[in-house]
Amino acid sequence: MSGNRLVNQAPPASFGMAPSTYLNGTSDFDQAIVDELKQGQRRDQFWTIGIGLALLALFLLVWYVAGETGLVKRIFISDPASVAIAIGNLLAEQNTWRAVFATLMAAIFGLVIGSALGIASGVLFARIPTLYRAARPFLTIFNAFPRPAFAPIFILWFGLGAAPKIAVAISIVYFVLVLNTMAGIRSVDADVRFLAKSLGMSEWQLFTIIELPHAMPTIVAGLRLGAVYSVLGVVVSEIVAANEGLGQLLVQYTNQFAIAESFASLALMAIVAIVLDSAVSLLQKRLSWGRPSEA
Amino acid sequence: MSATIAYPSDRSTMKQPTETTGVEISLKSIRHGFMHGDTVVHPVWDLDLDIPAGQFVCLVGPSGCGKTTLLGMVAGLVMPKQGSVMIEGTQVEKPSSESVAYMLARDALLPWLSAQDNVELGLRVRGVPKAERRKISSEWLARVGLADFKSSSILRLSQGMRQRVAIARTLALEPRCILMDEPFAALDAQTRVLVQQEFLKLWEKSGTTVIFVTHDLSEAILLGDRIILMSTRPGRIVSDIKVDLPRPRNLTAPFKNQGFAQYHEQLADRLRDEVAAANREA
Repeated sequence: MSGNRLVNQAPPASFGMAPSTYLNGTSDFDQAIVDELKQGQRRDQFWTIGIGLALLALFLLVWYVAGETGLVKRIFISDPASVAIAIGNLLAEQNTWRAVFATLMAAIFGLVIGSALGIASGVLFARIPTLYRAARPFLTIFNAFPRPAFAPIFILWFGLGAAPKIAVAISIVYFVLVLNTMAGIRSVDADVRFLAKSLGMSEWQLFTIIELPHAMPTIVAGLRLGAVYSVLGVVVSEIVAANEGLGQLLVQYTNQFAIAESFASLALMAIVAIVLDSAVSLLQKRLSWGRPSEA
Repeated sequence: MSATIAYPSDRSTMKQPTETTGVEISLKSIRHGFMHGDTVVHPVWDLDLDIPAGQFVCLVGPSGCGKTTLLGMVAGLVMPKQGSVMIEGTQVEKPSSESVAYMLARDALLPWLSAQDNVELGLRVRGVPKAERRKISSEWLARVGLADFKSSSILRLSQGMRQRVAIARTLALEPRCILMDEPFAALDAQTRVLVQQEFLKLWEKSGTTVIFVTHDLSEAILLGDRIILMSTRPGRIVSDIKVDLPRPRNLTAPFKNQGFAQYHEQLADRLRDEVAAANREA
């Protein structure tokens, strides 16, 4: 240290154990506390899984009984076993895999392009309030449109390929990310901004050292919403018209009254959304700070 | 108050302040105003204040008497509408982050960084190379008693520990002037005394100039060399009191000594009178 004006001194010993010793019991007494904690965690886990399985069983039972007793006509709701078989049959067809791939790829493109544009705009709007005030009326109007309703027009413009689906997905994902990015950057504490100024940070340093890391959890939360919404936009567009995709598959089966296959298609859509959401949640674990979230 | 009370220090073996490295600060005929709602308010009006290098000055006064504005001016974050702020004879015209460090009531630590990375924040802004930053921050964390918590998440630290990290962050810059805006106000009473003592010990060895804003008269007497009492808006200096207590000071049991207790009481009485008088005037 240059100058060394303040003489070094030994730290007082009264500030507790180092954190590294917290989780390894060093004595029987400590071990008992650690064991108690672990036992509690196991108990929680047992009930979480148990209740989950019970709910699933209840759902399947009600579904089965409703069809079996004629409460609801089987032709409308099929039954659990038939749907399971239908999923198996669908997965055996190459056609289905092409549809899954088309939907998933379109959703990924929609998510990536929509969030890149959304994050970039959010940063600009948060940093340049005048720009935001000027753009706000347009954003409000555009955000007020039910975006999936754009699908027929986009199909008219871009044809039956991937482009219109991606466009619908982008139009939804974009706004989620703009709003989350802005909210994240704006929520930087006034004291922290003041400190940054008093340390003489440049605007660029303020952005990279403070604003961006601070906003990261909010941005990633937006990405997770965006992942599910992207699949939604793509599927709706496919339902309107497309030469391939899970939305089209669903429409074909429903039109043929193939109810088990229709449910099977719905299940595949959910799986696509879950895959995308899980990918983003891995990202969330890497990029988020703060207390572990329940989501 | 001219009576100097002899106060036999129980820590007289400790090193006395060495050569002064603090800066001299001078505020001349400062007038300032800003919009508050539809009216212009004057947080500071015709203020003159000279602070010699290495002095620990406490600013005391009611809320809204321009204490924080005054700190902002010394830091170069607020430019007075009239008058001048000089540090070592040079007019302050931009944020003076090279020589001045700021400390707030809330620690303003960044929760996504470890304790050590937080201590290094100012050094990082200055472009100090990583290896040197690590060395400096390790030393400072040890000095505030947090050597074992280098890689701890800020969210796992207690309030007192967090404020210690903030002290380390401030002092790691080796500022020649520290501006403190009620830095210990958010701490509970017992932690506050510990952290005050910790800070005072480090400061007494440094010779840095300190401007310390507080609402707590007792804190001002225990820590300061000089107490500036300010009136409510427009902020003016009402009285300027020298604190003749020997250093180093022991804050953990300040009243064990009869002399200290008496002196503290006299000063506190006088300050209370001044505050009451200022309030009557306003």
